[in-house]
Amino acid sequence: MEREALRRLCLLNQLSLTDTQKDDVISFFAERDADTATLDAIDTEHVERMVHVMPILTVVREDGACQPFSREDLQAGAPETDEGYWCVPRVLE
Amino acid sequence: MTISRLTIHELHELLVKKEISAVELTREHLDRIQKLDGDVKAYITVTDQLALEQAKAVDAKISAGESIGTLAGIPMAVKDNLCTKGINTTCASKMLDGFQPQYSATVVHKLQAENAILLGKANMDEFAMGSTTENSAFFATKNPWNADCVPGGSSGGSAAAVAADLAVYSLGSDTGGSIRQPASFCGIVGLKPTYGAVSRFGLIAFASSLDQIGPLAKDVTDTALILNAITGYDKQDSTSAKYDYPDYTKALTGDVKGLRIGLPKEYLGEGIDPEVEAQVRAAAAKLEELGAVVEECSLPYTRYAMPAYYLIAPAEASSNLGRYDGVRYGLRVQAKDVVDMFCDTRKQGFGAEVKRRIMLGTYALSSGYYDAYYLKALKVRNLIKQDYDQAFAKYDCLIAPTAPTTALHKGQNQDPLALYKGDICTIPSNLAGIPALSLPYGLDKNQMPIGVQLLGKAFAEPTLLQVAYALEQNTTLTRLKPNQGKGL
Repeated sequence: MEREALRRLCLLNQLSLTDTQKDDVISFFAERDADTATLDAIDTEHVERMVHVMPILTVVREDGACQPFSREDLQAGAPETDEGYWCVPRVLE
Repeated sequence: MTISRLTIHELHELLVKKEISAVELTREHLDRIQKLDGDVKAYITVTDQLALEQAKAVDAKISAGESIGTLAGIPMAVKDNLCTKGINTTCASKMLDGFQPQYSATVVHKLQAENAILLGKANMDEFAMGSTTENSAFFATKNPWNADCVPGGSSGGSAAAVAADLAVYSLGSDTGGSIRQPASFCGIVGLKPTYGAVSRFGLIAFASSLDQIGPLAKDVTDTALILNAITGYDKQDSTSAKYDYPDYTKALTGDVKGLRIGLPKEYLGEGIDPEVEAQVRAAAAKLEELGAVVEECSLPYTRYAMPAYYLIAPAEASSNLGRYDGVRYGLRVQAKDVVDMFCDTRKQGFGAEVKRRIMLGTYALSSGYYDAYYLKALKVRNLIKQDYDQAFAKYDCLIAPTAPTTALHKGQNQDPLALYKGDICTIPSNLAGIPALSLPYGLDKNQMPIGVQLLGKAFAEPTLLQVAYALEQNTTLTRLKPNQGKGL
């Protein structure tokens, strides 16, 4: 794990790390790589990936009417709202 | 005997005979929480007012001559990653400090329908990532057997509450052993059901293909009673299994004659504490004495479970935890623009272990590494499941340690990778989606509980309960209580 790759990962995750945390993650990845490498010993060329651990026939719910949540309820725990909208800081410069 | 020490089935009898009331029972537990939880720290939130209201309603039913279910009036706790409408649900994270869901988890509804009494929300490792409950953003929970030891995790609060008689039973969640390992460390019974047997609706997701909710209880009968209440198909969980769920108490026969039990060699030997291994072998010998046929067997892909799990689980976690952005609910850290707000919120809201796993998961899923890491891990997961399929073609049940050691000392292991290795006995069953039960079986030389794990094929919970009950009825090693004076 190089610093540049770590910077890219942080960006993907919208995470900012302190320098100590960055060092921690880099050394963690180095040790972790050794464990992950043990998987290379297995020939999986003709093995199917597991899609689901149990046979699932459908993941589509029944098409039935139900009581939706109210906007007020859903926004009750929101950090900031305005007339039914969630507010965020400016997006454009 | 102190009523707080009794089991669900013992207390149910007292309630029905009107020898105690639900309010008395609830007050007894609330008093104990008041007195002891300052030390144990099993609870993040105590719902005392609600508990007393629920208890009064049960007493009113009993007074009116209405029949009550077995869980009615029995005080319990749920892990703080299960949504409870209008009650703080924090996942032990600063990110969700003060968050009150708009709905309750299906399991919470099911227990409410049984008139169970909710005492509060139990402490855990943040977002269920950890195996010591030291990763809680609020405080660490102590092991009631020895205050210098951890209770295990991530459902450490749920386990400690039951072991210290601060709840009669509790619910936890198990992604890689988070019910069974704390049950083992705290000397109680813990069961991870078959994937899909218990609805995950309202469980705050860590790794959705692995997470399962299950009971932590004082004995095997209680475990069966709780399972009766919480299993079942739920259309709100798209992975819920349509299955003819049995009455689990019917499995409590005490008879194991003719059952075929496998002892997988990969779960014994190197890395397993000799005292733990000795107890697993002793439990196997006891089952043989009771008429079961025990044979050593092999699950050759077991050693690959941990590296596969620590790619799959973080990959799913990195996706699931993407929702915490400071916009709709939970923590927001104010910043000059929206990207800084996302970054600062996630920086301050998540603890070190959560960040580590998010990074690892995103790395495994990222372009250029996906095939080598995530895809490879999914293929290995299939091989691990095939291992079990082959074993269960021959055996009704497998017996193994729950954890390689008894409870660790607080702060004993600061190396995350070493801690991950402590999950080696529990992770494979999550990858295969099969049920597994941890049963206390004696103490080590330091008077700390040892857990023996029973594993079965999908939906074989009755077999696990049958075997566990036979051990419970035929030894004195399974009903353990901490020495409150020495511990807490």
